Amino acid sequence: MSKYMFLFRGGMNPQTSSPEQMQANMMKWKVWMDTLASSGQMLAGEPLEGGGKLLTGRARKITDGPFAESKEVVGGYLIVEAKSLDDATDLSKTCPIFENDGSVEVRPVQVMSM
Amino acid sequence: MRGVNVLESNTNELADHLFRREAGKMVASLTRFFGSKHLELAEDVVQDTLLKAMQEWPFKGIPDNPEAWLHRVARNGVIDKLRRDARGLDLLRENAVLLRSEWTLAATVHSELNASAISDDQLRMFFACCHPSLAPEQQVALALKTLCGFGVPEIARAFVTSEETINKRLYRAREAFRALGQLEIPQGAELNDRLGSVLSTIYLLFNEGYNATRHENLIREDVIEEALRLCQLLLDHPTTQRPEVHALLALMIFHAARSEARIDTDGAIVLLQDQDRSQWDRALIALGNEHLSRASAGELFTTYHLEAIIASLHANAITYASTDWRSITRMYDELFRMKPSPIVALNRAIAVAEVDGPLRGLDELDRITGLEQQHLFHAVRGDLLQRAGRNREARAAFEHALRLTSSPMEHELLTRKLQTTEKAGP
Repeated sequence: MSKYMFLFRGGMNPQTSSPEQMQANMMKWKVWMDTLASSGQMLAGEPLEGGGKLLTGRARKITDGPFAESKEVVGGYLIVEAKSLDDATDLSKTCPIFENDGSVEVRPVQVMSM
Repeated sequence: MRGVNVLESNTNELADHLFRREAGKMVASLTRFFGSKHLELAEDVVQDTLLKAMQEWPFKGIPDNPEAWLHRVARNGVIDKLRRDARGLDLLRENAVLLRSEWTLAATVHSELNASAISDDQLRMFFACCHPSLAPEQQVALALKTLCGFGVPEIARAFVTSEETINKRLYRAREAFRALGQLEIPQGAELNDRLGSVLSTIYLLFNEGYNATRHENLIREDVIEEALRLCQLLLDHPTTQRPEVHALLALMIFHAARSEARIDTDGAIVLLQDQDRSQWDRALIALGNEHLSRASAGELFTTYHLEAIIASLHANAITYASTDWRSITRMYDELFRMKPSPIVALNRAIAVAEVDGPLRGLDELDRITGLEQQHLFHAVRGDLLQRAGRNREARAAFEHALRLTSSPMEHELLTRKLQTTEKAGP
């Protein structure tokens, strides 16, 4: 088994969504994550706040986030366990984020060679 | 009819409409706290609160007490806003100084926004939404948005209109609302007038949901449910626990009890005389009877009383034929005296036809003016003509009605009627 990171971008726009839509969206995410957790595949994960700082260059130039259009901002991450990149990709396909034009980036966590 | 069990829970660990309901409560409390000019601020804090729940709950699980979690996060949101700029908000309140000092800020917010005040807050908010400086359609739109937690697209669907129209109504409603200042439950003589406009908003809301001649059944059921809930909110408060409120609730419950039977499995309209009365919700009818009996306490007799009595005579009749049409006619006489509208006259004519025959009903219809452009008028006329054996005229009336309706369900019903006149010959 290997570890993979899911990076979530975009998704439901809370500014234009009604409470009813937000509740429905929340429940879908919860069901999806509960499924991952109950099969033991979800290892960690957190949502990220909007905003933050971006440091660049040798001078460590600091700028305020968010860094780009909201659909490009990472809104959260998960670490999952899967047999292969293909399996991890399959897991991500059922993510509710796609119903709201969001994206999932699936990245293998590098295994340190001894 | 699921509308009456307002606080039902489901198997998904979270009550249906929890976000929407709690959003309504939180907006009411925060608007009372900030004053009416900061309605948008209150709505922003609530939206941020729901966003946090939406993001955190899937990761961390739904809290044991989701309502308390939401209200706590909203209070913290208020504290954040005040910490950033308490002076800039220019709050209209005696203890504003307490909100400007870090010593007292959090404690003041937590004590002023406590859970026990929520039903009062909702009532204040409701009276404010129904303030006479807002037009009726603005009152309904604003109440649905703020007090009931609906989104603009949902309100637009409920009213079968565009989002742009609803946004315009809300924009004007908010302008008037902001000028109200502190939200209060009216007292004394003012209460009578203001309660009248609150009740007519509820009834308008209910009718919007109930007149099922258009699509979008789900959102319409939600609207009916909200009308019932808001009426119950009035009955839960000692100031507004009044006979006419019981009368309005009874009236709406009698209609709600019959709503399933009005539409068949294919979505077609079923007329009162053809409805399967075993589908009527007996428990709801009993509840309606109970509210109607409480409505009769005291001297006051309103049009809601009359309409509720008429609805109860229908709801409690075992068959269409055994309906007490004589009493219904008398109630319509009285209702017409109090509210001389052509629609009341039309309903009265139907009752008269049941008591004294279709020709007497047609006489009554001929006296009505102002409904020439309403399909319902011509449809009723067609029915009475057909019953009087005047098929040719009935056909013309149904055709006239057909030209005046855009509703597919009404269209289908009228076409069916037209066919029966054709079978029957001239």
